[in-house]
Amino acid sequence: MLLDDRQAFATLVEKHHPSIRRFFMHQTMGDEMLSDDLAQETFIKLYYSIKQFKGLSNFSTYLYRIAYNVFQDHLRRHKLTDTSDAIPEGTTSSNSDTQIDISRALQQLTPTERAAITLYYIDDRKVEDVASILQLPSGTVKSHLSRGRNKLADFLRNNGYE
Amino acid sequence: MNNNTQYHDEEKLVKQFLSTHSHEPRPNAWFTKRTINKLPERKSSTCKIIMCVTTLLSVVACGALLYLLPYDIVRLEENNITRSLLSIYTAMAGMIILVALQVIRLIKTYF
Repeated sequence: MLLDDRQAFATLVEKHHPSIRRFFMHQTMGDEMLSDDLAQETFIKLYYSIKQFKGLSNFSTYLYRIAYNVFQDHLRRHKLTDTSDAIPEGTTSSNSDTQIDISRALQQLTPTERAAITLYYIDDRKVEDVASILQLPSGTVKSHLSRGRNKLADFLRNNGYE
Repeated sequence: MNNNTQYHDEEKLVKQFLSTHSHEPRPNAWFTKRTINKLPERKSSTCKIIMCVTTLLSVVACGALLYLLPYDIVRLEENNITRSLLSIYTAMAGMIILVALQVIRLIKTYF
């Protein structure tokens, strides 16, 4: 990779792009096109910053950190506040009812809570990994997880998902 | 005790919901290729070596010409020194400018 090996980088992209795209789909409430654009931006940023990766954390953690920062930049560029975002129009899914439900469920959360919840529950990461990705203390991540879980549980109960 | 039970219930509910309803991106066979195409142009190390060697040889050749040529011209053409010298120096000046531009381009591209 350090010697500009495109082949190695392509292998890396091929391996990690489904999980990164999935991460963005949860942050963007199912906007597939936007997720693909953000995922692409993540890998391009990875290409430029790979030399700075010192191996102190897991590579996946490093990649997700870049992805999260890309999403934060996107929010800042579009001046979206740290509150619930609207579900994008034309969100496509073969199972549209359940996808809208998860989008509606995730809409109850702030972007930080959403990121913490999806990394912890969907990507099965430990609190320490989530803290490293979000660049927050573990205690703060636990608070976000707790608040996010409460909000989601309330939403699910109110919509008959028990 | 009640708090623990509530926590476990919520945890189970949220985990179950997210595992069964999470988004799955559609397969995109072109994603990797499109990403690679957006990367900057590859800088070949072979090209870099060839450019450096060629530029160095040009600089050395220019230096040698600057030093050697005027003496030969002065010896051979005693009557038309000024005109010949002027044309030689003009040609050499042009060559030096081209080599200088090449050196600048080399530094910009590879360093």
